[in-house]
Amino acid sequence: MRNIKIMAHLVAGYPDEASCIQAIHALADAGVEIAELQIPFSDPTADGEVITRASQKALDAGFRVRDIWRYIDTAKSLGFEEVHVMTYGNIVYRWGVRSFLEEMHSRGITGVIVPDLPLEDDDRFYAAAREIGIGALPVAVPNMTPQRKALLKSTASEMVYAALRQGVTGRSTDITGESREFLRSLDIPKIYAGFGISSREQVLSLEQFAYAAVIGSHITRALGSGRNAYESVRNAVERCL
Amino acid sequence: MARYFGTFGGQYVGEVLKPALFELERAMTEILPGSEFRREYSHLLRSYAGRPTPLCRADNLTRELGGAEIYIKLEGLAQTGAHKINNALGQVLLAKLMGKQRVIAETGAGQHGVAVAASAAKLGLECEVFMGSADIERQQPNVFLMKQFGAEVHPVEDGSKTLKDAVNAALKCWIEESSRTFYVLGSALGPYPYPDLVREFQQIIGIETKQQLSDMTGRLPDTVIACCGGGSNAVGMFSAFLDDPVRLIAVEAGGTGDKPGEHAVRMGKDRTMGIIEGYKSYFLQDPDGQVQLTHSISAGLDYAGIGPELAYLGDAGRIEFARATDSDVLEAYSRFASREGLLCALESAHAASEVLKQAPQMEKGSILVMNMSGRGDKDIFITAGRLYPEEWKQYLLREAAK
Ligand SMILES: Cc1ncc(COP(=O)(O)O)c(C=O)c1O
Repeated sequence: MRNIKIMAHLVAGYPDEASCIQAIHALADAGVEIAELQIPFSDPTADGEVITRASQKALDAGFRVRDIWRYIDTAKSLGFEEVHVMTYGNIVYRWGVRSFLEEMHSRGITGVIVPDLPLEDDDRFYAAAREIGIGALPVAVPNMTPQRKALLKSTASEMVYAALRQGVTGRSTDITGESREFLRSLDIPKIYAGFGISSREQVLSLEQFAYAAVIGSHITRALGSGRNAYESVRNAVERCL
Repeated sequence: MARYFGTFGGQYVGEVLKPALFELERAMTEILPGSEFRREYSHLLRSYAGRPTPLCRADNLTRELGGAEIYIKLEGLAQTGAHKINNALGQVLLAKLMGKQRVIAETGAGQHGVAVAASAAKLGLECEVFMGSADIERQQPNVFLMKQFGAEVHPVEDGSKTLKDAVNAALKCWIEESSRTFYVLGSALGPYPYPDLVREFQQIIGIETKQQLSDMTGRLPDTVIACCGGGSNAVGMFSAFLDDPVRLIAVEAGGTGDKPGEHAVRMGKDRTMGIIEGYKSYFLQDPDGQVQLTHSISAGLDYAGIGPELAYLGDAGRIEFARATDSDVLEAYSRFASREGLLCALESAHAASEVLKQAPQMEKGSILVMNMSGRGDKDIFITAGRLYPEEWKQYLLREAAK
């Protein structure tokens, strides 16, 4: 038995609506516990080539921000333990920070991840999330100083997204003793650890150090293969279980 | 130092970039004011960049337009042909004194990329430049120059394949490796402290202009005009006059029309705030918050965002914003060339176009200063193609056949 949950990430609307909905079904059928849906943004500075291109493709195909509800509703209907939403600061800012959080909360979203809204919380994103009672997951990175980790801990309350290496999404990651030490040093109960995870070995090496292992670009890459969306995603995820 | 200009600016980057930005902030307070930096920078500006650049009285246009006396600050005479070198040299020197081995930069028109590549060659650092593949297509001469200066040019194929995508690519490269790498940002924008850093190096334009004009006329100008992409030449020119009774006009790219994708007017009636590429300011974006395409005949003004300080000063009413269409710009370009022997960069020709509008309305004896941010040699493939389409095409065909 796996002793760590899987959070599987998809770019909403990629490669097209029907395939993306198929992909959500594939995640549920494979036994993934947590779904993370990314609202595509035109200028995603924390993402590598795979997710950047996927976001662009979804936007070119006409994805509008409020279309996210259709993907969220699908995920909620399939009984994932948690559904998270990831996007960038400008999408949240244009939506309205508070109404974005309130609407996500009322639709049953567990956590939101917005990597370019800083811990200093100039726009009261983390503060509003606490008031509303939705999780807002700040991103922890290995090069953080102890002072930044302390700020993170006070911002994060109980959930955090931990990037296992420096850099943008996409490249593979060696999970080492140092990675695990980094996770332990965060001292936060629910750690969602990701970046460059595409194998069972990587997932298992995070057991006891993270609440969930995040599989991201690996799935989007599989969806880009042009083959049947359901099968590609199911195979890609099952390699990691 | 404050992270915001009013509500504009800030430091909207992932946690992974925070250490690099803190390091930069520290270097700004510790290295910039130091005598080693001051001495070396001012030596480079004089002996390499060609400062001070002249302030030139435009007698023929003054007579012809019949209003204000027109003075033109010739930033195009600086090394590599534009004001960009002031900032590039400053940042590359700072990088060197911080002990960095490599500089990276984004570029749109290629002017900033060329300035950084030249500065890195001069100061002995490795240099890599990110440039949208659409911009590479329209600014080949600058790509060639960057390579001559020893820089590696990375084509960016994401998004609209223009300046904003080059900024994203450079940011991502910096996210991957910041311990030996310095990111040389080319305009007065991006996450704090870049807007301050760029102003610091560009304010020499306004400081010199003020002194030169005072030496020539004994007084302040009535109006100062600069073109405005991200805003570095405008901020650099205007900052010396902010506390004086001087009208300041920044000119944006009016492009070919008012519809999305036809211009780069961020400071029009419907200004929309956004948080993009590390800072909060006005951006051209759709109602969802997706960044919109822009257009300008000048690659250097073809950008969806505006530096936070200028946006703030615009909202506060201290700076006025005007626009020039592509065809206004070509007309001004030809007129300045034929009347004054000055070939404006297409970016600067936006300011020139506003001079043609403002000068006749001003009183005789009043003074109008324009910043000619760059010279127009780099644009010859665009301007010649527009102004003499058939002759230029025949020439290119003959060259290609050789
Ligand atoms: C000659 C020239 N002027 C102006 C600009 C616009 O930049 P900024 O608004 O930062 O001065 C550029 C940018 O490439 C340029 O090359």
